[in-house]
This record gives sequence, structure tokens and C-alpha cells, in this order.
Amino acid sequence: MTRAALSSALIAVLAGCLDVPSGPAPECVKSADCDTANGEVCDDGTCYGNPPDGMYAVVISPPAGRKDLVPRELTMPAIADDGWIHDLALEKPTVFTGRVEAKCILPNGCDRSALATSITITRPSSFKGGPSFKIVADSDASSQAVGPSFEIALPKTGAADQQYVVTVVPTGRADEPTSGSMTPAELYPPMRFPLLAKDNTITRTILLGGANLPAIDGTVLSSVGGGLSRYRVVAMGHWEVGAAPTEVSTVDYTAADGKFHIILSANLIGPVELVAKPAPSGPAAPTLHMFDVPSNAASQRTLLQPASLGAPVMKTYQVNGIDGSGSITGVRGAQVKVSATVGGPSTGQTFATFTAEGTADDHGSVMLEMLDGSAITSAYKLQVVPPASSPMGVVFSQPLDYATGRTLLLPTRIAVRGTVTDVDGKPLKDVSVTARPSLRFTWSFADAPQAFVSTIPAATTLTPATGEFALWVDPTVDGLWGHYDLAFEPASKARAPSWVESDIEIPRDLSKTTVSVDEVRLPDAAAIRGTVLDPSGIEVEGAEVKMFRLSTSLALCSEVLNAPLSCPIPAVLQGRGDSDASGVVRLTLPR
Amino acid sequence: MIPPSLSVTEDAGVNSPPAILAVRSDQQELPPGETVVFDRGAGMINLTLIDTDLTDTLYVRVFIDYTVGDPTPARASCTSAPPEPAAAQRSVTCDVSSVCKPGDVGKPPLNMSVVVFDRMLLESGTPAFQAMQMGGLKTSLFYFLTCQEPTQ
Repeated sequence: MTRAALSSALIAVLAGCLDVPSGPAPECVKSADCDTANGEVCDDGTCYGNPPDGMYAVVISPPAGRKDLVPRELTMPAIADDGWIHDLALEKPTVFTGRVEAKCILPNGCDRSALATSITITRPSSFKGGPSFKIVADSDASSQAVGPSFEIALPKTGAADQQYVVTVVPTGRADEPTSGSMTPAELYPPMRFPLLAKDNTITRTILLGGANLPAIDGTVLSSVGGGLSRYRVVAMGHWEVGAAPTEVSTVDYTAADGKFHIILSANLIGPVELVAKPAPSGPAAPTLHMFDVPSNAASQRTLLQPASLGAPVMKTYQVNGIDGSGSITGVRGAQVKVSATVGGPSTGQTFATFTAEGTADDHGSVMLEMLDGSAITSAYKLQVVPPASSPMGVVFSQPLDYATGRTLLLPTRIAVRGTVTDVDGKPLKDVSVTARPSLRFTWSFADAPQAFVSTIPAATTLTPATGEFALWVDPTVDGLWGHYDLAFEPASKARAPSWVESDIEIPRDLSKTTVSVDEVRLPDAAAIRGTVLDPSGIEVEGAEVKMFRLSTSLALCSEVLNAPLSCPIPAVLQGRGDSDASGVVRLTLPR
Repeated sequence: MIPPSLSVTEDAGVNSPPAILAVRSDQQELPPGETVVFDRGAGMINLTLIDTDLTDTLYVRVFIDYTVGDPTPARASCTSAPPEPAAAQRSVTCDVSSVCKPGDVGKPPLNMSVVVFDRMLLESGTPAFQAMQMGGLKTSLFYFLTCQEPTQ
């Protein structure tokens, strides 16, 4: 009997007095109904086994309530022909515990109080493109001179693992000063260090600050030389080559004289950038920057605001688009950002940046507080991001006509249309379809547009009974033609796998309003399962198991202009599941 | 008295709210009320949801620093279809690559709400970006969000 005939027979048998939504019939009642030649067995109405070929890795994560367990990564897990994944055991953690204190600076005496900090610990995945481990924990402030102020559970460092990176950031880094005593962030700079977790327990006292750390003293001045108050001053820099800049100093807030004093972190690479940002609660004002300040020696700097930036004014813009009927309509929820840079970021010079942001209301109207000076009004650039799934498109770095421009007309997106079917070509209902910029598209941009593209929410929709979908995407961004990945996620418990159609190219024709994708036929599904256990061999409920296909081709890295240094092509998630009360987790993989 | 229909395909008249059983990202379940880390420009979250209205489609939205006084649209969204065969529990994956903006990196933690609605959201109405069809219910989990540049 074929599977289809068996399904029909089972429906006839099971149809009775119960009024439940009709679902798919069981796939099997006995193993003979399955592909036994390739190892499949029938269990609970599903044919398990015959796992797909390929290189895989598994990530097992414990439920939040099991603080005694930590995630585990397995490369090339053993999957038997009957679909059982072996060795889904979670592990005991290394417990990293200790205190965060200020380093003693003699002859001042030692304050052994514990400091309030935020401790972020990260580690790349042990397999290329896998999800990284990252955790944030707080260390508590305490006047007690002894006792731990933090405790963090970490997966042990194995032979294939890189070391952890621990970043300790003192609390109190708000945009505006707090009343009362100085915060730890004003007294001690952040700190970063590597950590290996090979033992069951690591106990460490983390000492912040120190007598030999370089300091930057200076003043924030207006264009006519007066001190600027309520500016938050900090240094941005790097602990590693090629990393994005982060805050690497204490924070200071200027008083009426504009003076500041900040202390830099240890072990920085290259010079830092000084950034003085006005208090958000005050009137609109520019942020002042200075590049190339040495990070290995004390220095003095003056941040001088450029002249002719003007005074704050409220401006209202109307954000419009053309809807399907050809009518002009306001774009509700569009995120509008106007920014300008005045002065060049050359060595030793102050340059100013200014940003105003707002969200369009129900009528598409947005109000922005801007500066009206002659030095800045001609430098404004506009960017707009409409809400996810809007038919209106994005605008990036477009010059803004400050004097006369009051209405912004957004471009129209292109509809990516298609039909998703199961392996037999039958339309699939209730498949979640998401369009996101492909790596090829994203990594073709320089840094600024690449960052902009990452802020565009992914368009998503659910298929009706016909399996049809239509998603609005931007045909071009910053002059580059789009490439998109389409991710398909069938409804929970569906007998179809998740799937990604990669790198769909938008045709280079601006007159087109639709791009049709061929029928997307989801591959056959392979069902596999395993039992998640704790170190004592007891089943764990609520654990998550994710299976990734390892990427082997790095061709894309050389085909695009701006791939990150390490070219981290993500491993493709093939399936995931949560363990039930018996610890059993079931996954559906594309075959 | 006429009892409501026990059919699960018909609405018995009273809507049951959805609930969020778990939110997971990368290698951990995100503990509600605590600080979580997302990479800018990357990432997925998976939600395990439960709704005893077996035919309800659930709409997931991720809001950052949303307040009634300064409402902003969701930075990420996804939709969970009713499971088939019917079941109260389901899971859905959301792309959260646009949740962290470049200006959010290195800032003090943001307020992140993961909100699940059991009716379609409306194009207008209050609360802005969270108004839904009549009779709809919602549930949410709150997190403090720290944004970082992706680890290279």
C-alpha cells in the first residue's frame, strides 16, 4: 500500500464523532509503511530515519530553569539509519565567580568595595558560522570587602574551542549625569581579558583602573570659545584589530567650563576617537568628534564646535508613497533620519555630526528638531526606512533640500511572488515566508550602507491554501541591485522541512513591479529524534536542539567587495526542536 | 441554558490569550527580565507559544523602547500559523537582524518587549503599532537588550 493510500484509509478509520480540525493523516502505522530499505522505522505515526547526507553540527541548549547546565556544540553528530541522534547530553558548567574591585593605587590606600559592573562574555562557535555563545551578567556593588559579587556558568573550553573574551564595563554610562556621587563608569574604564574555562570553578578578583593608565584631559568649547556644559565625553577605540569601535574609557560629563578628564582602558590597539555628545534632554546640538588621539600616552585635546551651525528649529516633513491604486498616500510608521557632518575628520581637527530622528504618524507626518545654520543646512542627508512589509521603499543618504523640501516621496518596492509546494507539488498552506538581504547583497556595500541595510526589517508573510506568497523588497539600495534570501518555515508539526532559497536576484529593470520566483518545492522531509540528557543521565525537558549544515564553500568571500575579515558565512539552520517531558526532541530536516 | 459548542473549529465566544513559553536565541533560552545580547545585523530568535484557541494565527512583534508617549514600530516581526495537526503549543522563528541599529551598540541596555497578538494588527489606531482587531488579546515578555557588533 502506498503512503497516500494508507493515509486515506487511516482518515476513514479515524473519522468519527470527535470534531477536531482535520489534519494530515499519520504517515505510517508500522515500519513496513516506511522506507525500511534505507533504515526508516515507524514511530507514533511518523517514519523516522534515513537522515540526509552532509556535514552537520548540533547545538543543544538547556532550558532557562536549569542553571546547572550549559549549552553544548557537537560537530558531525552520529545519526543512526533509524533516525536516532546519539549523545545529546548536556554538560555541567565551569562556574566563573569572583569580585570586581578597584585596583589599589598607593599611597592612597585600598577601597575593597565590590563595584557594580556589567560583564559580557562571548566565544565564537566551535564550528564555522555557528551561533556564538554570549552572556551578560551583573556584578553587584557591595561595601563588604569579601565574598563573591558575580557568578557565571560557562561551557567548558574544549580542544576545538577558542578562549572566551570577557568585557567588564562599570555601570553608570547613561547619556546624562546622575545626581549624587560619581558612578563606577566615571571612575574606572572598561576592561577586557581572555579566559579559558577548563576547570569546574574559576575564582578571580577583577581589578579595574590603575595608576599607569593614560588619561585625556581637555575642554569642549562652543565656536566662540565658551565652555559647553552637559556633554558626555568618552573615547571610542579597539581591543582587537579589525573590530568595531567600542567605548574604551571612563565617562565624563562637562560642567559650565566644558572641561573633561577621562581615563583610557589598558591594552588598546591604535589611536582612539574622542566623542562629546550633548545631553538628549537639552536643545538639539551637534556631537563633536576628534580622531587619532593616542591611546598609549596622556594627552590634552580641545573639542571646538564648528561655527555657523545655527539654532534648533522644528521642521515637519510629509512622508508619502504611491499605493497600488496610483494614489499618493502617507507612509505611517516610516523611520526618518536626517544627519549631517560638518568639517573633515582629519587628524587633530574637530568635526561635528548631527542627527535628528522621528517616526511618521498615521498621516505620514514627522516632526524633526534640526539646526538651521548655514554651515549645516546644505549638508543634510536623508534616510527613511518604512515598516516591514510596506510596499514603499527605503531612501539612503539622499541630499535633503532644507530650504524648500517638505514632502518626501518614497520609491516603490518590488513584489517577489511565488508559490510554495510540498515535495509532491501540492500547495502548502501556513508556511511563513521571510525575505532578507542575502550575504552577497549585504557584503557588496561599504560600511555605512551595509549598516543601513541591516536596519531594514525583513518582510514576512504567511501562505494561504494556494501556497502563494508576495513580499515587498527594495529593488535597489544605494544604487546596488538587490539579492534576497527567501526563508520558508512550515507550521509547527507540519511534515515539511524549513528551507532557504538563496540569493534571488532582482531583475535590473526599474519599470518592473513584480519578480516571479519559480515554484518553490520544499524538499522531502527526514524525521530524526534524540533524547536530551543531563550529566546524570536523566532526561531534560524544554531543552532546544538545533541542527546546522556546515558551509564548505567560501567562494562568496572573494566575489564581494566588503566581506568581514573572517568572512563568517553562517551555517544554515536545517531544523530545530524542543525536548518533551521524556527528554525526546524531534527534528524535521530537508533531505 | 445552551452550552457553547465544544468544536475547536468554531469560536465558543470567549477568546483565550496566547502565552509565551520560551524565547531562545543562539545558544540560550532568554530569561525574562534579564539582560540579553544581540548582534547588530544578525540573528534569529525562536519562540515557543501556546494558545488554546487552536485556529488562531499568532503575530509576533519585537519593540524597542516602545512607550505610549513615543510609540515606534516593531523592529522585527513574524507570524505563527496554527499547527497541523491541531495543537495548543507551537513554535516560530523570527529574524531579529534589524533589532539592533548601529547607534544602539555600546549604549546602556535598551528596553525590549516581545509581544504576541492573537489578532491581526491594524494599520492605524491606538496604541500605535499595537492596535488589533476587536476582541484580540496579547501577551509579552520584557528584556533588557545590549547590542554588540557581530563577533568576527
